[in-house]
Amino acid sequence: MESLAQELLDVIIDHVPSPYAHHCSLVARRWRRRGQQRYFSHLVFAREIDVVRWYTNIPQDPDGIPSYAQDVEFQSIRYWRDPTALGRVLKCFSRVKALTISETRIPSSEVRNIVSSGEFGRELTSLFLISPYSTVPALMPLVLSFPNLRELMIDSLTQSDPPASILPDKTWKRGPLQSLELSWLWRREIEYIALCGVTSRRVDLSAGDAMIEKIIACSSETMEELVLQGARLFLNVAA
Amino acid sequence: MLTSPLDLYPLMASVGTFSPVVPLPPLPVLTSMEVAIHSGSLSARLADLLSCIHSAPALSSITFKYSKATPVGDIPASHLWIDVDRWLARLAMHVKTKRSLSLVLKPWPEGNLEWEECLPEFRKAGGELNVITGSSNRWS
Repeated sequence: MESLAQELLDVIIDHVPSPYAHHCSLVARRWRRRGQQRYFSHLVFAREIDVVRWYTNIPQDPDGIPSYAQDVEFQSIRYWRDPTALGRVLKCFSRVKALTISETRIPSSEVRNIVSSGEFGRELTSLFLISPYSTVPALMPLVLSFPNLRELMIDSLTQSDPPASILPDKTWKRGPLQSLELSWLWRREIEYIALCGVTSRRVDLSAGDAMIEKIIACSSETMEELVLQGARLFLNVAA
Repeated sequence: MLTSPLDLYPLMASVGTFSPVVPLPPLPVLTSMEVAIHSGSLSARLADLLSCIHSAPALSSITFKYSKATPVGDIPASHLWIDVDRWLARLAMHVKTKRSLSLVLKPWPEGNLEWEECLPEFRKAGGELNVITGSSNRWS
C-alpha cells in the first residue's frame, strides 16, 4: 500500500461502496483527504442544531473540510432560533456547486448578508428553492448574485404581502441559464421574476401558474426547449 | 401575514380566472417542446397557452405526455383538441427545418380512437405523427 501512487489510492477510495465510504478517512493518513472529500461532498442539514455544530466545530480552513462540500441541502428547518445561522454556515461553503433549500426558511436579513459578503456562491451552478418560506423580491437578490448559475428551480414560494409591485433593484445582466424551472408560484411572483429579466435555454413551467407567458417572452430569444406541465386541479374545472 | 400558496388552492379554485393570454413574440431558436397533460385531459388554459405561440420556425418536435390516469374517451374530439390541431397545423406550415414538424404521442389506452383521426389539420399541413408504444411517454 505504501508504494501505491496517491492517484491510484484515490481511485480505490472512490470505488469503496457508499455505506463504507465514511470509514475511508480513518484508515491511514494517505486515505484521509480523499476519504473526507468523498464523505463531505454531499451534505444534508435537517436541524438547526446540526447547522450550528457545523460552523462551531469544523475548522474554517478555506482548503479544508468545508471546501469539500459540492452539494449542500437544507431540509425542513422552518424556523431558526438564530436567524443568522443559515448565513453563517453558507459562508463556510466557498466552493459549493449545488444548493437545495427545501421547506426551510430563508431570513430576508440573511439574504442581504450573504449577498453583501460575496463569500458564498462564486462556484454555484445549481440552485433549487422549494417552499423556502420567502418571497421572490426577498430572494431574487440572492439568485442574481451567483455569477456562474446555470440551473434554477423555484417551487412554491410564499406570496408576498404587501404586493410585490415594486421594480427589482437588480436585473439579469448576463447570458441565459441552461435551465429554469418554475412551478406553483403566484401571479405577482412570476411577474417579478419576469421583471428581473431572467433568461434560459430550457424553460420548464407549470401551466397552472398565471402569467407564465411573461417568462416565455423573457426567454424568447434564447429558449431552445420548452416544457409545459399541464394545468392541475382547478384549471381542469375551469376548462 | 405570509401565506403558502398550497394553503390557498381551494380559494384559487373558486376564483379560477386568468388574464387572456397575449400573443408571444417569435421563438426563433425553439427546437423542441414537451407538453405534459394531467389526468389525460387538456385544459383550456393549456390550449390557450399553446395557441399564443405563433412563430417557432426551428421547432422540430413536440412531445405530448400524460399521466397514468386513463384519458377520457371523447377528449380527442373535444373543441380544445380541435383548437390544438389548428395550432399544430399552423406551426407545421411555418417550420423552416429540413424535416417536417414531428409530434410524439402515445396511443390512447382505451377505445378505438386513432390520433390520425383526431389531428386532421396537422396531417394536412405536412406534420408527422410518431405514435410510440410502451411506457416511455408516460410522465408519472
